[in-house]
Amino acid sequence: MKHVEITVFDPFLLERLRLNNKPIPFEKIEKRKFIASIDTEQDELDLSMFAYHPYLVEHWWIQEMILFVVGIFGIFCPHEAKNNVVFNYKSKIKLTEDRANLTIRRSFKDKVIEVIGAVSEDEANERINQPLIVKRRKILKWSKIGFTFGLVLIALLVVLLIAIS
Amino acid sequence: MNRPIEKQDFLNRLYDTFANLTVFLSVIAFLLAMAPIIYVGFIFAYVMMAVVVSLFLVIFTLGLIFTIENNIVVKMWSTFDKLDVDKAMSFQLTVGPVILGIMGVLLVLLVIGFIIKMNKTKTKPIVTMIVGGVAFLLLLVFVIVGGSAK
Repeated sequence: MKHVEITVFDPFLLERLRLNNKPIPFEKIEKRKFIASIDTEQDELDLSMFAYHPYLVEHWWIQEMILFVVGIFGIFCPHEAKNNVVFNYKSKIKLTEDRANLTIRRSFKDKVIEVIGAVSEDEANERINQPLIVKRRKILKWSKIGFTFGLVLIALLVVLLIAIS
Repeated sequence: MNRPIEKQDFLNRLYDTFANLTVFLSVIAFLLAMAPIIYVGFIFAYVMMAVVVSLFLVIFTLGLIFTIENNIVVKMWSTFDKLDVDKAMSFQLTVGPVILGIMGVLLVLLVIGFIIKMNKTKTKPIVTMIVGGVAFLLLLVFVIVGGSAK
């Protein structure tokens, strides 16, 4: 049985990191320190990162329009995803000893992730520009414009009807 | 952390949107109720709040003076300037809504600026939501009391 301790200092990574395609059960130790203790029989672990972007999820259009409507034409809706980049990371972590302490950090250079404390073989470690996000952003933009104009038209019609009656 | 990131992120954004909305409502409520109890995080916001309230008071009073029928301004004009009351009334009924409209636009702009400022200071949403909720209730009470008084 091998014991692996994974330390992460970045909340951004918490929900995105996957070990053998499963979310890692991190526990908060300090304000920005999260540790996961894992016991495994394997000598090799698959570490990957879930490529999340709000425009790539299943119900992306409905979700964005709900936020647009609830946030009154998007005025009160924060955190608009402005980038078209998703993270593509997959690597194999080799466990040579019975106890391993890994620290996973976000890299802001060419790579996406840096693993400290173990030998890792990267299969993918890059940022990918997704044209689908650009396309969906355009669809959303026109949907929002259409929705706004539709609402203004309805409001005008109601005012006209009231004025006539 | 138990929820998948897709759901969690959407819920977070929805929660933040509601928090912002409550902040907006709370600011409006406070401006209407003139209650000097708003949670904003730091002193600058208090100063800004004071400026907003003062501006609001000045413009609101002006708007009110010009909108209410037979107010003191019309009476003064008709007495001292021998102005026709009907003309004065029509003038005030044109200017009044314009001033109120400017006030509305100004308020909305200030509130939007306020919200952006608050987002940058990372105010705890739960606090703003509680304060916002209380403030909104205050606003409701004022509206109900005002409506019944009329």
